[in-house]
Amino acid sequence: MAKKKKDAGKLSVFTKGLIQQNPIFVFLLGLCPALAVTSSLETGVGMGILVIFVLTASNIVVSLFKNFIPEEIKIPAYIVIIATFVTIVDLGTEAISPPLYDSLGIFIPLIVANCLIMGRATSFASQNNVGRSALDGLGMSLGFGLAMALIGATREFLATGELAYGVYLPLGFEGSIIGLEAAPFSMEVFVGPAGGFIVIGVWLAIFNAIGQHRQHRRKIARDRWIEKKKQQAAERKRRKAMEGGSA
Amino acid sequence: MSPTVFFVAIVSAMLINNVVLMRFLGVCPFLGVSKKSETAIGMSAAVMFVMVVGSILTYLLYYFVLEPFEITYISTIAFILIIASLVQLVEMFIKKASKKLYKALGIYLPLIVTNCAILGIAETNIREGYAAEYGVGQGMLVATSSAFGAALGFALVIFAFSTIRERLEAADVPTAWKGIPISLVVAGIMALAFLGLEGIV
Amino acid sequence: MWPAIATVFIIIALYLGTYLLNRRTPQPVDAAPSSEACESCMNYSCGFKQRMEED
Repeated sequence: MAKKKKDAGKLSVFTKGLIQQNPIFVFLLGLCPALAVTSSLETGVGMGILVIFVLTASNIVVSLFKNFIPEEIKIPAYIVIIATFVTIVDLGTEAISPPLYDSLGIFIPLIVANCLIMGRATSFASQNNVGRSALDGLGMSLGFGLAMALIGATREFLATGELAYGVYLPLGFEGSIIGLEAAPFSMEVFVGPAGGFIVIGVWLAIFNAIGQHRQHRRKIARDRWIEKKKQQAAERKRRKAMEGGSA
Repeated sequence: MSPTVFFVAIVSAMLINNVVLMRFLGVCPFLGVSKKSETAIGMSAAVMFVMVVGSILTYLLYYFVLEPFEITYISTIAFILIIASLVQLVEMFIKKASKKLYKALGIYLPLIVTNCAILGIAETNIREGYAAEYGVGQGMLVATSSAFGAALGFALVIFAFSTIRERLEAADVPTAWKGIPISLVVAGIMALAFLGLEGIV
Repeated sequence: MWPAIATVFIIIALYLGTYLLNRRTPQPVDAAPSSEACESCMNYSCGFKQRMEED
């Protein structure tokens, strides 16, 4: 029984970052890459993969060394750890996928300044064990990657009318998920800076609206439930009073 | 080399390749501290100082230490640590020198370490290849003026944006759009306006 | 290889030194930044933010 409860806790550590506490859409962390490298689905996904690696690795290392790092020099130590992993990722991307490296450009070294990674290190990994920290890092960065993919897909589809794959990521095959039927209706502005801001703004508003709708529904359901309970209680009271009266 | 080079560097970094609206650097402080125009001014002042000094330091480090030893692959880690040390030094200096200044800028300095605009401009200065074009010495002057222009652009945009947001507070927006979503759309429209400045230099 | 390691260590030492110096420099009296300015900021890695949340 206790074990089951613990497992459920672990699962929520992993899943909370996906939607409930999504770094981009809920906490608005890491908006710089979310705007800059999401002009296509693939660059967004590529950035997401790099962040998954850096955040998971840095969370693991931070929680491994949490007892050896003096409280006083916590922040410098975290910066050094994160910068080391970013350098590894930078050099690795250049070797594995040059097109992705070129299209992400300066935003690979800038992962080091991403508030999300530093924030998770200080607020989660420095207080939890290795397994939970790794799961938290994986979940949070997956949430980041999902949001990047969503923004990238929206922008690429609106700007070119298709969703291409195999251009930046070294998949070994190329093509596009949606054909070019929508191309005549494409709006090139969405590939540019203005489109980035507007697409994220609209998605945020949509998620807000969904959240508010759900809250509203929940409130109505709760009100109904309370009303029902009240009626039942009144019914019981009346019956009791009647029984008491007959007796 | 004529002085117009510096002028062109400043204008193009400030208006044409604006850090926030065109290069997407420093979007976090752009949205975070732009709720009131006073905080926007404080942040811009802190960013301006650290950006100019930081880009000089990283430039010197790159061309006088990293390149001669052929260890440019550690530039990411070296740059972030140099900028972080600079921020610590500045904060300490302000703490000792002026209470008033510390009160005005104190909160913004720790934020600057995770401000990607500073690191981004430092990296851009290297990738633009000013040193190859003008020589290492004069390239530094060009890089510094472009950093100064970028900081000016940051200040201009964040101040304009903060005044718009002060107005938006009073406006009657649909509840789902309140706060950040409508601000992002406003920023998008500002970016559209800045697109019109393309090609003036 | 060795110059890289040496440079990284020198810079780390520099950063640690300045960080500790700054940390041990006391804040001027009653010059703590107002919490109002921090309110709208989302940067959870900022030292002030953490101190405020602990309070």
